Amino acid sequence: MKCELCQQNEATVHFKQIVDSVAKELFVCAACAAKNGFEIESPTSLTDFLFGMGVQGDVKPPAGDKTCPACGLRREDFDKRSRLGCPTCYETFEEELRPYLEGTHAGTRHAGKVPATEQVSEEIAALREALDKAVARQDFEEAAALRDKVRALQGAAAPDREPA
Amino acid sequence: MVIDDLVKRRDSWLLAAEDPAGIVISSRVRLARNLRGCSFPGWAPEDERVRVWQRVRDALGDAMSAEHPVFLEMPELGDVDKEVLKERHLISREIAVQGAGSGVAVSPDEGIAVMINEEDHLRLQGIAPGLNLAAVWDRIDRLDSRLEAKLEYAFSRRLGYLTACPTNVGTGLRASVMMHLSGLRLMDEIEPVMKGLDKLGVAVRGLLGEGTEAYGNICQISNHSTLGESEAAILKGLTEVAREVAGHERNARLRLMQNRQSRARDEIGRAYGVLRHAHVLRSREAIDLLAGLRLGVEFEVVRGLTVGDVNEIMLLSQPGHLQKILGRPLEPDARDEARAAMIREKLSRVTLA
Ligand SMILES: [Zn+2]
Ligand SMILES: [Zn+2]
Repeated sequence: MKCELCQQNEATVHFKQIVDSVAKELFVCAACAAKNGFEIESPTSLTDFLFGMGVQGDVKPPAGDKTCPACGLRREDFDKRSRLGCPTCYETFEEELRPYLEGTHAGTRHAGKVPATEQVSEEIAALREALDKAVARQDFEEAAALRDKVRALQGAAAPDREPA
Repeated sequence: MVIDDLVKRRDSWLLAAEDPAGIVISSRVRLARNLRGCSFPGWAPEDERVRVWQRVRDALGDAMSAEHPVFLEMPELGDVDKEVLKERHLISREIAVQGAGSGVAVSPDEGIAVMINEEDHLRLQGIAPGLNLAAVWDRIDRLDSRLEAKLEYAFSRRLGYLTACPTNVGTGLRASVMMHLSGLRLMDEIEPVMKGLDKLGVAVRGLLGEGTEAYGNICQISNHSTLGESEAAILKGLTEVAREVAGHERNARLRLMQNRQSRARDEIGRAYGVLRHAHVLRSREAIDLLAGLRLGVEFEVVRGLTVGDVNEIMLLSQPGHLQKILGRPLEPDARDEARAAMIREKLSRVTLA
């Protein structure tokens, strides 16, 4: 990748530091590092480098500034409230939550109750896969039988829907 | 009004003494559930919370139709009403300060209470006297299954039921057992037992829930982990732990009567003396003394009183109930006098052996 300061030379030096629990990363070329007084041999803090020396150009937002696309919760909101904003936050902050869940719970995978509708959708997915395979090997009799099963399950999962 | 009826009840599970030794007071199961595609209550704007309240209320009305639940929305309730509901373990402190869209559905026997828009969209709670986790779970599990057919829950294959706080994700199940451990305390053995529980992954709390100390010698033990184990495994594990703690407590009580009888008799006698004759009693003091009196009932030293009676006096001496039965709000000083008067009256025919 290109140096994040001059945007020209190939970046050969990678700096990483945790600032206020947010990981800051910078990829620069040896020349820019030297020009900015950043000693590779005895690196001063990245914070000083970034804020003290005045970085030209954009440093891409570190991973810690994530925002949940569904509810707008930011990482710092979670740090403040210790509560997530919406169910999608579990995907948005998956990496951040992983060590927390590992430290808190007996396991990392759900081993309990599954809503009946979820059970049906899992069965449907399995049948669809079998259906695709049956079609691929041109076993249309089998495929038709599987299609009927899928339709029956879909009917059961959504009782309000009119049968096709 | 519903709340006025509640405080006069003499048939509530809160007064029942299922366990004759009075060691296990009650079993509670709580399930956290949320709706797919909605922000969690603490992050949702008020109009969304109100829509969720209406949706969940309708679904609960159907799912609990056989129970004839009563719906109470927080803004409709006065401070004393909320206190009463808290003291009866029907709502939490957290929900009591919420506004429009937050409330509770309560079954007439108080065995089921569903909080709507507390920390999660739904908090389904089941309670019964004694050590009865399996039966309580069964009742809540069936309600949950009826509800999931009407509401689309936020659920992930990998993480299970998704909750506002990651400490509840997975089963969303918090099971707890409330226990009366005066034998262990009087034998100075409560500390090692609590430390042992911590190692087993069991959390210990005081009478009033999260973050409260154990007063009145009443402790609540609950499962810590909600992810990676099935509901059955969690309930079985906690039941075994509760049985074990109850065994330690029985053992401690036997040794207490053998080796430290004077200490036990002194605790009971002092509790009786103060409760029978005091004119000013603070809430905390009353609960501690009532725990001593309860021990006297359990050791058959106190005559003319049952464990259920003690439970009732404990409940009625809390601020909300006290103000409700007197029919008016009271300042703390006036409450302390009213509490002492109520207890003197209730104990007027009680004697010591
Ligand atoms: Zn450069
Ligand atoms: Zn979110």
